Amino acid sequence: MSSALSIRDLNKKFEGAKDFVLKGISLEVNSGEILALTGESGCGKTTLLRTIAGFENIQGGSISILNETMSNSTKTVKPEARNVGLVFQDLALFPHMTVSKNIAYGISKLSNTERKVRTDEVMELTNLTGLEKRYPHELSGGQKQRVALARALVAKPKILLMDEPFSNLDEILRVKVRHEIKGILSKSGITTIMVTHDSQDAFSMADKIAILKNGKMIQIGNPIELYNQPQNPYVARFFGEISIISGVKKEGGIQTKFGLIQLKAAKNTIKIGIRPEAVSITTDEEKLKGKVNSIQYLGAHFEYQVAAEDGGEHIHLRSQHKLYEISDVIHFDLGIDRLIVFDDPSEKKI
Amino acid sequence: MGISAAWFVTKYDIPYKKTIEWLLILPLAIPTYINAFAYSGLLDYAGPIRSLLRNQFAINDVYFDIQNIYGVIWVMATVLYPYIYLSARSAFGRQNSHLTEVSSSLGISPKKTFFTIVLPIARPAIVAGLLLVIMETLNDYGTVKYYGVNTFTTGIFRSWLSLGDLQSAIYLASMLMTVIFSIILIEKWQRGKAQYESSSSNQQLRTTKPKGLTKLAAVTVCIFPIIFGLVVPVFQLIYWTVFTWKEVLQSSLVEAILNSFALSASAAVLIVLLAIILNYATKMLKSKKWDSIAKITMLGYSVPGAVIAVGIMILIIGIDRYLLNFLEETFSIKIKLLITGSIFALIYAYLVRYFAVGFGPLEAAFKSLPHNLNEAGRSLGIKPWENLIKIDLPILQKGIVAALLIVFVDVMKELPLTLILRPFNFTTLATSAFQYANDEMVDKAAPASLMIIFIGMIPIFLLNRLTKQNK
Repeated sequence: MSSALSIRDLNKKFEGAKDFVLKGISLEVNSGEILALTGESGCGKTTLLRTIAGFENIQGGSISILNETMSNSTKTVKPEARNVGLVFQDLALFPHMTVSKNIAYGISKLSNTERKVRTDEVMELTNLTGLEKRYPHELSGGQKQRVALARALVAKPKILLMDEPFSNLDEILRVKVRHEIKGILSKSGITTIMVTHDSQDAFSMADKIAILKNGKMIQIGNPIELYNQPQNPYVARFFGEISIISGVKKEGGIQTKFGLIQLKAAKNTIKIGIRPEAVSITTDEEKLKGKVNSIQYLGAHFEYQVAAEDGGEHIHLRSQHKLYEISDVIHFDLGIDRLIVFDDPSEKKI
Repeated sequence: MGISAAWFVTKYDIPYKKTIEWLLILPLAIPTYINAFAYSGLLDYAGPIRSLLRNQFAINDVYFDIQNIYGVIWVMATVLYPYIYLSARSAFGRQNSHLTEVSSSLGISPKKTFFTIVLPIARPAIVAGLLLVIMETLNDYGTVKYYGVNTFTTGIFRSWLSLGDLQSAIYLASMLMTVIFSIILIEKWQRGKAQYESSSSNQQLRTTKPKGLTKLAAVTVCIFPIIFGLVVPVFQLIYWTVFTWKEVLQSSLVEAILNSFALSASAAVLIVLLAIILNYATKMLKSKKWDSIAKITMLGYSVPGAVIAVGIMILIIGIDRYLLNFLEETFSIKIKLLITGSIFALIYAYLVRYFAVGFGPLEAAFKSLPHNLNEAGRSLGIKPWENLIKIDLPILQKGIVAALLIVFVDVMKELPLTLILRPFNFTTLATSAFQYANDEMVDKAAPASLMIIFIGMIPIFLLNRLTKQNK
């Protein structure tokens, strides 16, 4: 696989600002891959996208697209000259143009027939055929999304950049649109960089996910790695619900406030990350135990917040039916191979 | 002129941007007729330009004839461009920067992006500004009269004041109104199908620091209208004022100032009071009927002063005749015409014409109030009118002050209405300036003109500060 986008040691500072907003970012995206850039708001993910598009210059490192240097500390190729497709969160459809004019906007240099052929081709790919004469405000949310995508794809860009493409959609539409867009992207085989703050968006779309915090990339990998082997509790929490409890090495396992876990650890003090699906409720009184603190009904299941005896730490458990009341004692078991172990206090994954 | 200045101010970080931005608005404070006096004085035989040519270069036979239709166009353009500037500026400022960014990511040059994306999307706002300019132009009497150009407005004046021919005046007035309503309708129609307000986003255009030639061009484009719309006329007026202020002050200027203040203040208070009541009623009643009443009252602003004057004249002469007959027959009291030529008629006319000016900002302010406030008040058992006084009005304080000021200044500048409807020998700043200029003593018009301009600048200055605070 050849590299479509290569970023090396990128440093970015805004004019007049004191601190760098992006610090030493390095990543590779192969041809046809989808990379999700994710992190909390203000982590620098959108700024990174804008440097790739050429709207922001960089102060150190380099950005290359298809092995051609686009940005380094001395030059910034203009956005017009990069041939990069762009889909914004607000889509930015031209409100005064019809769907077909919006899509054909980027290929105005082609002859009339070529333009028509290409526009029809992209409209078919994005399942928009028949909507040529509509104006953007006459379209549904999903249709608008596809028009923005079609407009970005029409000039056969080297890579496609999408900034929070799904965050304007409600939950139900979102799932549907994700399927649609993923289908279009894999059909067209385009290399895509997508910014999203939503871990579900990232999981469902991406081949590779990079998570940023305060301008630094803290982990990059495939979605399964990020969920199951997060580098630290921050990444673990970002990608899904997790309870984190502390433990001390002891003969026969790790002593926690909920009881003894049969786990081997190289360190004396550790933190243990427990995803809800790693916990099973049991009647075996030999196992771990805690007291039900609060109960929430979430539709698909009941969720219990279970406190240790001294009340200091909590674990979340789930069950299909309401089995317990507040203050009841619950016994539960942990799937040892699914636990995520961090060093305490450095919080690094062991 | 307005569009290009607006674009450069929005897009580029030019030096002294803040100052230039608000200097660009200031010509709004100059009534067209005063600008007309200044320019013609500047270019006439005794004016500074021809004196300079004559004395320094011995050039005698240069004539700058500005007293024609092209002169009128120049004068109007130099002071009315802020309407376009303001609407274009805010339209550009509101525009989603993602639109231009998408365009450049598709390989389109910035210049082409401006003409295919930025300008078309700002068009409705620019057309709205243009509409205001057309209204102002049709309303103008002072400039065209002074420059001897015949228009509908001068026609109405001539038939009414000189020939006493009310029929022709009414005829001309209705034709003028037809023109105006057609313009409004055309504007509504031309918006067509495309919806221009783009998706909600606060991504404003990013400014860039211009360099070299671009910087020079940007600064020139922004300073050009300031020089010709503000600096040149104001200096000419100051130059005259230095020579004439003592003489003018002794005569009628003080009286004119007092009259102007009294008139403007009472009109402003009356209009704002009524506007508050109407706004609150629309808000409380939430009925479509009230909404349309509010809309009808707005129409007054699009009607030229001369037309309103004729309309009111007909009305009050009718009422006066009726009163006259009624009092004579029932009480055998013989009186003169009561309302005709009185201050009341004049204030009533201001009310008709400038109600929209006071109503607009208040409406915006009322609409920005969270509705829950009143409901919270009422749930605590407070009566609606108490709500208005205790909750709405204190919060709206700034909006009310703004409305008062704007109406005050507009009334102060007003010329055609005042000329027709004012009581005999009653002078205001505007009429005294016009009278002097019309009697070929344009230099003596300068002190009154300057006063109008400076008073007119107060609200612009204050509003500018208000908007800054809000940011």
